[in-house]
Amino acid sequence: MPAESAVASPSRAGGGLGLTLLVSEITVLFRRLRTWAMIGALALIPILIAVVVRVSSDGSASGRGPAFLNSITQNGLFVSLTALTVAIPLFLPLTIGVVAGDTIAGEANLGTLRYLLVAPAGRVRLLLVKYAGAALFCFVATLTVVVTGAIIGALLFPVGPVTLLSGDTVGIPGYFVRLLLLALYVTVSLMGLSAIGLFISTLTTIPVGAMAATAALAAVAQILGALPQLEWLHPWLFTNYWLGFADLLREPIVWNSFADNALLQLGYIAVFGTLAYGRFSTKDILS
Amino acid sequence: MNKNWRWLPAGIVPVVIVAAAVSGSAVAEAQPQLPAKTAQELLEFVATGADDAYSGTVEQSSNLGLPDMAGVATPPGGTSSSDPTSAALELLTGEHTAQIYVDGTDRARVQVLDQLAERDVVINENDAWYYDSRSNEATHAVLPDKDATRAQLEAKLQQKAAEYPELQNVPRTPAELAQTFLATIDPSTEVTVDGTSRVAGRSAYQLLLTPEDSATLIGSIAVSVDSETGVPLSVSIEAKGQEEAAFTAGFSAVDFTTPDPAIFQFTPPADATVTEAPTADEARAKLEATPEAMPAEAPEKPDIIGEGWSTIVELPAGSAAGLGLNLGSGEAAGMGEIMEIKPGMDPEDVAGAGALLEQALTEVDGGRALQTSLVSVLVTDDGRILAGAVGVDQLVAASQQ
Repeated sequence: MPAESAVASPSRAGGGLGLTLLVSEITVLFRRLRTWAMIGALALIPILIAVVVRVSSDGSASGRGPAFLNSITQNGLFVSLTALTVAIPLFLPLTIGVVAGDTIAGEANLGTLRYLLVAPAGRVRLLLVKYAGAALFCFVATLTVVVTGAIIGALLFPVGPVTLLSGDTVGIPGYFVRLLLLALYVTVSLMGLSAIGLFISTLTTIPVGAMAATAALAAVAQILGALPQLEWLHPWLFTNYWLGFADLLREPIVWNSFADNALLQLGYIAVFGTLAYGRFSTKDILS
Repeated sequence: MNKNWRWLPAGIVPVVIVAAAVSGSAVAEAQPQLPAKTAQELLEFVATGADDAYSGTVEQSSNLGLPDMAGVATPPGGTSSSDPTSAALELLTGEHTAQIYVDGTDRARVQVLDQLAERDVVINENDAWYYDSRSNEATHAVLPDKDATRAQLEAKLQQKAAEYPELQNVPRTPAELAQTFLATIDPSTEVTVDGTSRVAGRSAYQLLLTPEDSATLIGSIAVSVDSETGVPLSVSIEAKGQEEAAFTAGFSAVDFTTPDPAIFQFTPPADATVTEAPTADEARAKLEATPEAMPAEAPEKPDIIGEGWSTIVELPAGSAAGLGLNLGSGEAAGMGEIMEIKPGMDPEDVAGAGALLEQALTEVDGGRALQTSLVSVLVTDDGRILAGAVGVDQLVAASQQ
């Protein structure tokens, strides 16, 4: 891995807007075996769901299991939704934790951080570029789940107009627009966690620690969100709207949770972004 | 070099967020200035607003002191029970958000937004639909022709009016309606306009109904009425001795433009189970065709004890079975199970009727009681059921008379 990170450092020299730095950051991110392993694991979720349902489709499991599971046998396009419901609480935060936790601590651990910071305005720009890279990964990861789900569903099951939660049906093109909105919604949902991961990553030089802490925080927030005694806290948890993506599957679309979610995540980005800035810009870079 | 100023943004941002959150709720609580209205004027205003078209988001929450039924009526991750009793009970407990579309008096759509699911009620000129996305079941009813029904009613009214001249005084205008309402409710209730408030970003008058009755559990009922359209925007019921409102429902966002007509059309999904509800005529015909379905003897009329807000309804022994109120299908622990309690049933059996029931019912002198912050129900050992918006001790006292 050191060799790959080293590729990034020389190419950023001329980037006045940080654009070259961004391009190289993304190239490095998506050239990593680890990134592809995580995307592959995410793609396995819908495949596993679809294959299991196909193999055991005697239709007896009605009413049990995750949401939308029962609809899969009638319409393969529902695989995307089931997979998303399964991936949101655990797998997506876990992979985001790995990417976001690695942003700064990973470079520090490899000893490449000080090369990235040669330029005077380098620190803020590096933070922004690292965060943008994590955000892009969120979108690619979510899209992987959704698209793989639609493809495997179409291969194994009949496909047709999709029944929305409101009982109305949309055609396949309309459904794909909604899937894209879903991926966008889930990406926005994960932005707060990415910001937290970025901040934690500036605290340490051990990337595994930052990754574990970020993923653990996602779990803690979801546990707190499940306790009715802490109801006053729930609107402030970054996980609060994670399953609100279903509002995009209503007719007409209910935008409230999209807006509330975006505002909440923006708050988290502001708080942890400035914390990361405070920490990272005052930090002595020793490696 | 002092680099500590770089921590400044990290200190400022949380302060800004907290300030925004606090000032946001302060704006929401600011009382708008509106021309004063009497209770009579406000009620007239409400009566004129019935034909409006609007849409919005309604938040409802209950604090009845009952265990949250959401998890009981709906097994986690599973299909909801379509049993109407448990569905109604589930709606009465906990919190819900719904999207509401209304166009005049004929067309409406209510979407109860559950997590990863939805329940819909669609009403248009001719049809009424109920759809539950969890079970993928739809129920359809054909509504009776409104014009014909109205004409029939008018004809009947005219006929009766000839027989009973005092029926000429049936309230017809909003003003008369308001007057009749106030005259009927006045002896037992104080009706006042309690200032103004802000609901869903709109200025509203607050109508306050306070029972003048020390026995009832109901402290007061507040209705917020939109100051421009007369549409009620929120209702909250306060219980005595409870700080939080026992029941609130109100718009969190409202829009007074006519909703898209397509919203009121509903076609059930191709794979849904559709049940046709019988029309009123069919139901009557069916009942007449099968006389054994009718109760052998008409159930005794329930006793009404007291009057006004502390009225207690007493169903005589065995009435639960006689009324056919065995709605609980056994799979879901719902209120139906309370209704299944029959005279002579061993109290131990009653206790075994469901873990929920065990939790909710408490042993009292001469029976078992369900106490919520607004309503109490007493099932006596001899099988009578007493219910009312009063405390359990009053039900017990009434049952022993």
